[in-house]
Amino acid sequence: MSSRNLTSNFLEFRNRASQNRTNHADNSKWDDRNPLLNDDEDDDVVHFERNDAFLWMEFHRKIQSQFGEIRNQIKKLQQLQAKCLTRQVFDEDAHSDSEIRLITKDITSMLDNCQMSVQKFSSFAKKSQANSYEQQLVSNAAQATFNTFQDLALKFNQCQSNYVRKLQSQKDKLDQVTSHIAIDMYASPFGDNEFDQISLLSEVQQQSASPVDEYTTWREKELRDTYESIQEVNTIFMNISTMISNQKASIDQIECVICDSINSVEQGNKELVKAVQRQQRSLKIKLILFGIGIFILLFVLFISYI
Amino acid sequence: MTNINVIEAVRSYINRMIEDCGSTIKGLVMDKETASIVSMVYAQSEILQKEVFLFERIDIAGQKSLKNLSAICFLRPTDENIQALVRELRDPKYGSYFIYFTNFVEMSDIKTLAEADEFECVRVVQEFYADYLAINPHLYSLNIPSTYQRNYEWNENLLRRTVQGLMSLLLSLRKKSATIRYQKSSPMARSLADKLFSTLKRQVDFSTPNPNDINQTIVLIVDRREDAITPLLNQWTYQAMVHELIGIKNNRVSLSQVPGITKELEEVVMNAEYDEFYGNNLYSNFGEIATNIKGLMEHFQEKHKSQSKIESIGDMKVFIENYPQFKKLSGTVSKHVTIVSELSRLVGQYHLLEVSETEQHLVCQGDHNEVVQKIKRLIKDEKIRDVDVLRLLSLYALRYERHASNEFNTLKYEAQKHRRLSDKHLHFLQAILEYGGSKFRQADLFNTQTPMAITRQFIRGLRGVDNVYAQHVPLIKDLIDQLLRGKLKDTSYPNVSSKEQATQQNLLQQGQTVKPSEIIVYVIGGVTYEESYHIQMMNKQSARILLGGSYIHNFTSFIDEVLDGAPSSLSAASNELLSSKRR
Repeated sequence: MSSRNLTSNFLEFRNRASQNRTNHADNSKWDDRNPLLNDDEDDDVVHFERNDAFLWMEFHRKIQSQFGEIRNQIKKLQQLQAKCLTRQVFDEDAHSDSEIRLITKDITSMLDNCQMSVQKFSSFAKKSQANSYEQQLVSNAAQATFNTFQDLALKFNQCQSNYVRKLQSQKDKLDQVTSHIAIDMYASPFGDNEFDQISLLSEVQQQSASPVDEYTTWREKELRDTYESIQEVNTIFMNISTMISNQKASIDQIECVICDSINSVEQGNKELVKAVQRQQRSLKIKLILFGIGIFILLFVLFISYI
Repeated sequence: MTNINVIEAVRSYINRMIEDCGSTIKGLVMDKETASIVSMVYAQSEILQKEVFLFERIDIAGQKSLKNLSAICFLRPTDENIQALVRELRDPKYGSYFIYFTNFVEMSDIKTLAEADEFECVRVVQEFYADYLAINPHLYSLNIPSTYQRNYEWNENLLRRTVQGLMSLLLSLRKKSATIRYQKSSPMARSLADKLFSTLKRQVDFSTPNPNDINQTIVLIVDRREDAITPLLNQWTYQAMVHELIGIKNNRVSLSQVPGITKELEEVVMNAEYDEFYGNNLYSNFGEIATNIKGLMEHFQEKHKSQSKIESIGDMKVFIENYPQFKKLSGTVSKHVTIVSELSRLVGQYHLLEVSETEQHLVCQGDHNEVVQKIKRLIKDEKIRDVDVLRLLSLYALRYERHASNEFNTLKYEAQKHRRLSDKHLHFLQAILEYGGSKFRQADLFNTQTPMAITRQFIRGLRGVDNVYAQHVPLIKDLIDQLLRGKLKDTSYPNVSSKEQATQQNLLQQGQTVKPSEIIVYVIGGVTYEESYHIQMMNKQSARILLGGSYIHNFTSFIDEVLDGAPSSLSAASNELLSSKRR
């Protein structure tokens, strides 16, 4: 990419200029005769800058670091999920399953925290700032943070749903294969009709021995599923609430603008009424003066006639 | 080798600017022209993601201090900007300044800036050559609505601006050498080519390439006056049609004239980089657009139906995942549906199909009497706009200028009888003959000069055409065809070269045709989207051509351009009439 860097020339000129400035500086200001403080104006009293300016930047930096952490965790989660999907089908690795669950819980709680901070940031942005520039600056920053948060949450959801879908398809394939085996086993070369289809299938698919164990594992599975679905519902509602709160911000703005315009229109109306009255009054005064003038004229004429 | 892409060139400069600034919060300070340049290639949401949170203009005075931000100043090196920067640096608002100029800046200006920088907040001063508007990957413009001055001469400021724009184009595409060819019959083209060559040589030590080099870049400078017909025609490809009927300015379309428009659609952005449907349909004609819009609507309805089915938790999850994309899609769909329905309403209301058929017939076929009857009929028809009648009259004037039974005056009289054409339009009719008439132009626009062209025309007439509305082929396509084959005549389009090189080249190029690998075209007086369409078709067949002009014209802006350049006698008369009317 072609460009030309003039920074060195610029710095050279600047150094030269600053040297010239110090060489020819007027030293009378630093004479001992001058007082330390000028007490005619109080502009020289030291002002401290409002800390609000830095507050929102701190906010912003904190949120960005949170985003960074979430991105790392999502990457780890994706790696673990890939590992789980490619492992041997019958090899149920409880350890990596629990790791996945742990990381998912972690990410969900981090997203929760993030959402609270993003909402706090947005409400801070809505408060009026020192001047219009600060206002625009902070609202742009809040908008950008909000968009990044939505993208991250979306990415996490997609990651999870892809994993679940792939697991489901694997399980379906497994079911197909095992049902095939069951049929083959059923169609034995001896053609024994006493074999119970259902018991054969269930024997092959469920790898547990006694009915009691069967029941507890089934129950545990159901509980786990319910727990996960409730968590999913939670994330879904969180996302809906962010979407709606985003719309809330624009509706609030619209309301504010409408209130302002109502005020200004009412004020304008009052001013107009006053102006009309004044005009009418001035008209009356003019008429009276004119009448008096005519009267004086007539009087003078009358006297001169006499 | 990938195609040349001006949008990528400008974007890479802006990316580099933002990266070099570091990871602080940034504010972007621009002037009026650079604001257009940046907004053409970058969407606001994207630039917000890069932590640029504030956008302001250098000429509008600001208020309090923003010392915790750094400023990226992207400015043209004009005197006003330098003065504004000096004012700013004397009383700095931002914590640190990173200054980027879009073109060459004098050392004296750098010295002035350095002397003003008492608080030493400037960190970087660089020149990034992004001094033009990148509209499509192969199309650029310099946003100068009116190039010609009185009597078709250059205005000093505009000449400087054009040279700067072209230089920055060449540098941003990393060209180290190029041959500059210009249209000999146009004095404006000649002065531009000379000035460009000398400035490039002086500033960057640009060289004319070695004739044996295989990668040759050719810069071709032509004048709009050579082909005054293309801006006069009605268009039928999507981008061109929207510009002709509604008007695209800086990728923005104002739909406020559309009856029953909602508030949020009053001004829309049409950018092919961010809008997939638009990008795919830039060059499809009106019929294809209708079919594609129907497909888009069906796709959208399908998505909508699947969105509304929310029964299980899985469905809810899917809904949440797809909602942002769905929202974006619905915005795009409503925008394009509104635009296409407005276009079809205008086409129906003004009978543009009939008008356009007559135009194409007038330009591409030779039946004089039939065409005159048609034009007379259209003049009498009240539903046709004045603007379209003006188009037909000016096309007739250009085509049958030298014809034995020229009925131009009769037609003008008829037009005045049935309609009240405004004074501006009447003067345009006079001016267009001065502008693009046979006195000036050299090219064979109507295929009537050489016997070869006449036979080609005859055969085409016998064969018949497949699309009656797209018969016209702009002159620029023929010129570039010739150039690609190395057959563009040196007598009409000579090279700019210094004297020692001329003799050297003559010796080497005896009977050697130079086939360029890249062509950069600049049209003084503006280009049109129709020409851009033809160039893009050529690019698809692995050519590497870049098209640009001072402005992208539609008929309305072309009228202003022609009237501005008209010789003094005509314009003095027009001024008199206008001022008397005002009184």
